[in-house]
Amino acid sequence: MKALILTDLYQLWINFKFYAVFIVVALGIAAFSNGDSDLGFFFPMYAVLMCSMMGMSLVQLDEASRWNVCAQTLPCSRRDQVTGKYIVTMASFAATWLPFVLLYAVLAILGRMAWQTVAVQSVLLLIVGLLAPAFSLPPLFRWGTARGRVIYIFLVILMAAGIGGLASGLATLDLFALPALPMPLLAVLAVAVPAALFIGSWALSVRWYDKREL
Amino acid sequence: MNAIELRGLEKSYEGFHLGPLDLDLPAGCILGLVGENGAGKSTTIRAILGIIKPDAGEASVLGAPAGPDMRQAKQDMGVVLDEVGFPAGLRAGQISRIMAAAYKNWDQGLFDKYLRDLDIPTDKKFSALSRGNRMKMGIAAALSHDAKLLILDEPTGGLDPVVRDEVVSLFSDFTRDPGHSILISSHIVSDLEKLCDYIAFLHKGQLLLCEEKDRLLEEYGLIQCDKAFLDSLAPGAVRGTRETPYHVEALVRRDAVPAGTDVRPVTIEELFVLLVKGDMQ
Repeated sequence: MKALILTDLYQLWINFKFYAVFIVVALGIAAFSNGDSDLGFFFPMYAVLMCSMMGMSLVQLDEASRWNVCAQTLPCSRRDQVTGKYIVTMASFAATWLPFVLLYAVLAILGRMAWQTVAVQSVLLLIVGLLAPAFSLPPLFRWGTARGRVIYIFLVILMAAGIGGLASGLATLDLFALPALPMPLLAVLAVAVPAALFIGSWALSVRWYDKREL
Repeated sequence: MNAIELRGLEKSYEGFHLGPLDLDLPAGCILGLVGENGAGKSTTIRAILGIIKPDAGEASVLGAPAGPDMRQAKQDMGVVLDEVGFPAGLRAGQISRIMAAAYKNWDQGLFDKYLRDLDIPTDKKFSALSRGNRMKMGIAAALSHDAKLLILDEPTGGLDPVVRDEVVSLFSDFTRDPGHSILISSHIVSDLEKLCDYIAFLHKGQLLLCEEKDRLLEEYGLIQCDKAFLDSLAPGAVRGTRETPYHVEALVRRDAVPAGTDVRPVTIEELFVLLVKGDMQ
């Protein structure tokens, strides 16, 4: 698996090094526009989303060069191929998410951002960073990039419709009448559910890729 | 011990059925897979490597059941597929570091030597190399980790005759070690004729025959005759024919034609072409 991860790191450096510039710019914008402004949240969200989708881009690059087939002749399993992509995705996400969380913390220490906003925005970035690859990678491993991308877009539309429906349903509810969950439990759930979905996505990708004929 | 064993291997796609294939590659030998486009050569090799799953039958490589997870066996295998798929943006040095991370016995010095000997540019991205140089890079990588078995799918395709000759010599050198074996598929039958101990003919997914090369050349011959003579031969003597405006050329079993018949030696290429024609007739 070391060889596969090394390949992905080379691919990231060769093809996506300009993302590092974008992250620095996004950090600058977030710093100077205060983290809790719209601008201070949009750019970090966009940067985290892009970097957490690196796994998807790497799978596409592999298929374009036929490295996905060539890698099967190396002493590693299909499980290694999938796991490598999830590890690189996590690393890429963490390398983007952590600087923004640190920046928010500094802004909070300087009194330019509320600690509660730091927590909410950090968790939201985490949710987006974990869920985007969790939903995008399994279809790619099952159907390949051409069909997998179409299926992923279809899933996103379905999810958006579902969220829209849920939101309109919630609008008619008296939320204050519902029993409120304790804040620590809510925070744990907000992190644990996306993390569990990410792990579940990995397990599904391993299973699906094992069945796929290349 | 056999380096590769196939028992009843079958694989179906729409409009194509491979097998059942029974094939052995004895350790220390070179087996050439010959067949026209779509005969099933690449499918057979991909099934052996675990890239595709057979519908039936079994395959084993270096004593391990074939499949995508045969890590130890893969350490001892060098593979060149018909399309060498190193990532497009990588250069030779980066490919070497990846291979060093993959193979316990990766020999950086040997890889560099092959790059020099085969005149492969090291400063260019893999995607910028010609098809021939990409193939040479794949061959250099396959030969640089002390493999015991080479599996080569059309490795000489896209190479000019001079380089092809060099590459065939490299494969020949590889099998000087009695423990080394090669499974090689190619359209270029003349390369296989120089190289192989055994030849297997695949046609439309079926194994027409698998035999020691020297025995094949002893067993079969070519005659030129008229149609009447051909019809007089014993059934089973003729394996394939080719008609010209002047005569009929036939592939025959030497032991089944009357004594005194002028039987000339056959090349593996002629043998294959006439066998396929015979099968179609």
